[in-house]
Amino acid sequence: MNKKTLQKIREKIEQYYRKNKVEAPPKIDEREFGVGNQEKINYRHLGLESEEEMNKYLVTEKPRFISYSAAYYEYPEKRPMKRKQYKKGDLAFDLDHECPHDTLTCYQCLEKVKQETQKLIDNFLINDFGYDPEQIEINFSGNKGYHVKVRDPRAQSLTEQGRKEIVDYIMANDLITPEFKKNGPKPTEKGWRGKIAREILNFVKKSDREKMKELGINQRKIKDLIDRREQIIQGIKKGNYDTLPGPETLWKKVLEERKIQLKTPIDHPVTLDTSRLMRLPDTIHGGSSLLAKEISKEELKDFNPFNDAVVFEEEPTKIKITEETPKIHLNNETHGPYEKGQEIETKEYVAVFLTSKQHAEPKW
Amino acid sequence: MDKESLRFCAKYPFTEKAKQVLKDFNLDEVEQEFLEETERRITAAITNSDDPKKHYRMIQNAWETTLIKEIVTYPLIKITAAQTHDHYIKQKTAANEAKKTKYYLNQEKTDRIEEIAGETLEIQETDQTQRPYKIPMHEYLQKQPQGKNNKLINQPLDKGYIYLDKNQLGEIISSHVYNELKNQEPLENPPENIKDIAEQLKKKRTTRYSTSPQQYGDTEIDAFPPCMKKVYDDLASGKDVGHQPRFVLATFMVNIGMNMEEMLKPFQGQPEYDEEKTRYHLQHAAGKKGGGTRYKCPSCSKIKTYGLCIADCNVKHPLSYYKKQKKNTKKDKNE
Repeated sequence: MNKKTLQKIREKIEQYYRKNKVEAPPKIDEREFGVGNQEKINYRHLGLESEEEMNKYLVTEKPRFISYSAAYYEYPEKRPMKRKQYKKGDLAFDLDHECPHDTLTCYQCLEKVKQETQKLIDNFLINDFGYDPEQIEINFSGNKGYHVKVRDPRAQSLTEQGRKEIVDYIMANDLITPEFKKNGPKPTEKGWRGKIAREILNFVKKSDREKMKELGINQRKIKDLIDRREQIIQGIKKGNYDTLPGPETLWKKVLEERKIQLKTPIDHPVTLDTSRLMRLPDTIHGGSSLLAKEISKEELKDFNPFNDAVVFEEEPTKIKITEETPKIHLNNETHGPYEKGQEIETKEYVAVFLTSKQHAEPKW
Repeated sequence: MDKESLRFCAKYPFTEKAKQVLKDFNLDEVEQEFLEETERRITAAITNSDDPKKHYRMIQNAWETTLIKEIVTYPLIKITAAQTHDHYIKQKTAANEAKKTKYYLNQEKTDRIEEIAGETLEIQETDQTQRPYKIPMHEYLQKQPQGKNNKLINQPLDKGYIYLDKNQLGEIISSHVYNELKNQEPLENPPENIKDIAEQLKKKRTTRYSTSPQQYGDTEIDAFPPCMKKVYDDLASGKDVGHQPRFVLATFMVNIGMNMEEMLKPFQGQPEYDEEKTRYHLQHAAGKKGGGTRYKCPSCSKIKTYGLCIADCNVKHPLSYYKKQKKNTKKDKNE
């Protein structure tokens, strides 16, 4: 981003922080901060003592990006890392998705990540690990995904090894596949065995012909399965897989298919490496101009960042398009497409969005 | 304390009951006999010559003085092993004591195991016949026994609790013993005689894991494990490679003793190659900049978790793959 564009963007960011106070993360004085303008983090090892100091910093320095540590330190500003004296660290998850589509506002991809985020929270964090929903913080990352942090003291004191076990559990690494015989997994069982049994049960209940064909189950077996469906379902409920037609390898294949769907893509280094910095919630992501908004578990369901994380105003603002720009969807409106070189006057939030995405330069 | 209680303490010297026996015990006035026993036990652990079955029979038939010796030796073993500052000795000693605990527990009736578990774990009863106990997930993660079977993913986990049977309870208790010995920190001012034994044990140890990078000899890129080779090639061909794989490759290269020029080579393929920056990062991984610790190369299990594993090599550590592969190519050349 060139100097002039950067300066203009930072002026807008400053305006936002002048009007909106940002809430500090818990124990702000034990967190390390990192800020950047050209890159996401140009400078780290920054310590901020209080919410007041943090808000003052945001207004005076107007960083395009600001992140903070999941870790809590005795001396967050000291370096190298060892001298910071690590105390504990939130159990943090970073979920995102590389969007393959030709659009700047891909609702579809973010919706997918959102569903994975919900799955992580409901199926794993609450149901299996037993964390209190009150101790789970969720925020939009500001660009491509969501961040989830668990603030339960027991989670915060997990060792690196413990965090690895958690990641492996969520991603189904090292899962021992049960044998599908008389004493197979029951749908009522706890942990992954129960998950597996429920997936196979659902598969049999649905008996989707196309899906079965895809998996290489032959016509005769499909017919057999559908004819005896009720009996098979009753068998699985008791953990008896003898009634299932087809060899064990076939059902393992079904399971492999299902397993991936249960997996939650998370960026593991963030969960494992507590020294990593993550976007400070309720600050502006300078690569999109969207707010890294903190949301409740209830709000997550209907959250659409392209409406709900837009913070700039509607006043007419001029920009020059520097990259071919397909249609964009912000605040329930469609803008564009725009040609390279075109000079336009548009709403402030569209102007700042396209400039942040480096698809335009400011003419305001 | 009656003889039966002493026998219990001799078998389970990590329990509160045993700590009662040790209450008046003074580290500075240890009898020579106990020290000799300590040395013998640690040596037996290192040489794999301690037999739990024999030891069990000995305790079953022992008199009071022998039982007391057995109890007193436990804290001495713990401290002495820690005093060697030697990872291998600590690990072997811990594993040996844990193995014995496991064996003793296998001979016990359920209520005995419950009694010991109740003291060492936050155990609760459940209404399930097959898995009558549960413990909090976080406690399990602290005391988790080794092996794929014992990984969190293979446990019946629900609402933060792991459901267990009697056998697993025994395994967790023995894993607790392992951790207690393994995590013991050396004393700040250890008695001279304990320091002496620790020194002797260290000298005696013959097998050791060498972590010196020199042992790997000349660099052979073709002997790299597939995961490292891929990152290396991706970098060299100018592909976009994330921070994590770059760092993992750097630790690998540092640990096989590659020199700076060799290590810089793959990075030179990157469009935004900055020699000074790369040099700094590599020196950092080698512990020559920043915190001063040479970073260890992560194990296969970690590499899998990072999502970087691309082949089934049948090794547990990228360094062992490299070592094996180099040996093979050497053989090929000689033939």
